[in-house]
Amino acid sequence: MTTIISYTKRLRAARTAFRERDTDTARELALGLIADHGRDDVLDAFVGAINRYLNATMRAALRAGDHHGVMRHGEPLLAEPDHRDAARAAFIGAARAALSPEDRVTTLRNLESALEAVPDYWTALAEVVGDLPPLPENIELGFEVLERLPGHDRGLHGLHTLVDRYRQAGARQTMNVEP
Amino acid sequence: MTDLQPVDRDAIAAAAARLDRELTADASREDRLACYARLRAEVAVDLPADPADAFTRRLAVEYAIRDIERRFEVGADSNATSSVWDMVDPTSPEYALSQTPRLREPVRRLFEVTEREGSRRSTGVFYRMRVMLSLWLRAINHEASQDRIGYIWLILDPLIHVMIICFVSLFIHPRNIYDMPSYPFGVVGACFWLTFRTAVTGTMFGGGVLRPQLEHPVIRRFDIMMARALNAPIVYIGVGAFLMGLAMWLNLTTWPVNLPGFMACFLTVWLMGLFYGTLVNSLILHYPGFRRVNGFVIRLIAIMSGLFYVSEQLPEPMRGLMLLNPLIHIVQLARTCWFATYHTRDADPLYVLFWFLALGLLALTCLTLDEKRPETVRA
Repeated sequence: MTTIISYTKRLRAARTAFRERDTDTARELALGLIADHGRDDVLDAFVGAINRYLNATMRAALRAGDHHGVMRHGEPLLAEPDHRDAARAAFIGAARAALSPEDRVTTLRNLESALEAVPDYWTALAEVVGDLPPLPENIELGFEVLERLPGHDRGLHGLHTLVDRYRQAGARQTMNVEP
Repeated sequence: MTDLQPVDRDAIAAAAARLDRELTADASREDRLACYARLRAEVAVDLPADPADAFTRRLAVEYAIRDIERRFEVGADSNATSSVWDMVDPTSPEYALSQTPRLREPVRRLFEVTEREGSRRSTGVFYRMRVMLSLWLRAINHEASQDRIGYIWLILDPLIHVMIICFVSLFIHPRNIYDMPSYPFGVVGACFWLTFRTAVTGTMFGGGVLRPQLEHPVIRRFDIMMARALNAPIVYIGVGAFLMGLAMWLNLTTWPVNLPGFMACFLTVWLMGLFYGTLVNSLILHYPGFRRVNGFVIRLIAIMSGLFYVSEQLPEPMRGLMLLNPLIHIVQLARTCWFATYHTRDADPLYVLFWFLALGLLALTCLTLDEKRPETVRA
């Protein structure tokens, strides 16, 4: 009995959150319910409605040029089979348009498991390799990109730039150390 | 690549020669990737101690891979593919639709307008009316394209509908109804009722075939509902004018006594249909079963709307009941405006005004609230 009350109460709270367009809370509550009580038609339909709403909002943000909005609404959809392709394309496109090279790398790398299957993911990284700080981990990232996109012109040029800047930084350090 | 320190050409050539030996001309992508991986692994075993030199050595391998990959590319210009994709990527600066097109002089004069002129063209009442009209045309073209004689049916269907109602009117009263000739009496009643009903059905379904147009940033739900409801006055003004012209030609009626008043009544009945449809649309969003309830309500309104009678003919308790419906007031006012032989005693313009304002206010409230509902966003 307590379980049923808990289920109904939590579902009502999730629906209220959705009506108030608080999709984060609604989604979190719905996924919590699925984890605790298993899937059922009501929960599937509810999560489907949230996803459709997020998809519509993401596309509205894309049309409005609100790239951060696209990423915010698209991120929960990256793992949803019905919306995954559209969300991945929109998310990567928005990250390419809106984020600085370092933020782009951080954001995309955090979501690597959801995004790496998309060729654009590696292209989006290849484009910024040359603009990253000359650190060994960024150079390794450049090599990793070229493993996925062998011979990519922009990625290769970026990596060459990065290695060159790394060498120059090393030479400057050596000169400073020498008496 | 101007200021970059060149990578050792010998190292590149050696790696390229090694790859060349291992790869055949028709090697698949998987084979090539495996071959590159082997080469990278071999190089990684014997790297110099200095990290910068190690990176340069690995870089030489990547340059060799680039040279080999170019042989397998059909167009040899690797940038060409990426620029094509950039052209269709809405977030790319090279997106084709965000580039200013080169226009010929007459077209340039039409499109290259000042900011003020552009703003004037894309806002305001006339702009919204143009949007609604194009939506209406789109819906009409879609409906008509379902059938070979679709455009003929667009006129024929309402015409037959009105004529059937007129025949019923003629069966009940072969010559006159309350000093009005039966046939034009029926045409007025039928056109007013069907205008109301068509406006209601057009609005209450919230767009139908036009719903995908919500994807367009300037189009709102209201535009679509309005475009659907616009069908009613356009069709029934045409059908009504034809049938009343026929009645005049047959000497069954004369030119209307008060044409502006008659048209005002027609506009009122259409707007009330629009308001009622918006209200029903909102109720259906809350409870889909209301669609069925509305079926009964519409039939009740039809019976009470004075299609075949005027309220002055009815006995007292029934008359009071029928006069609760604002539609019968409007239809009787319209008949007063058309026929010189009839002047309504029962119809009250103030009662109509009350209903008009009340329904309009409710419809606006529903429209505003529904715009904010997540469910009404098209997925």
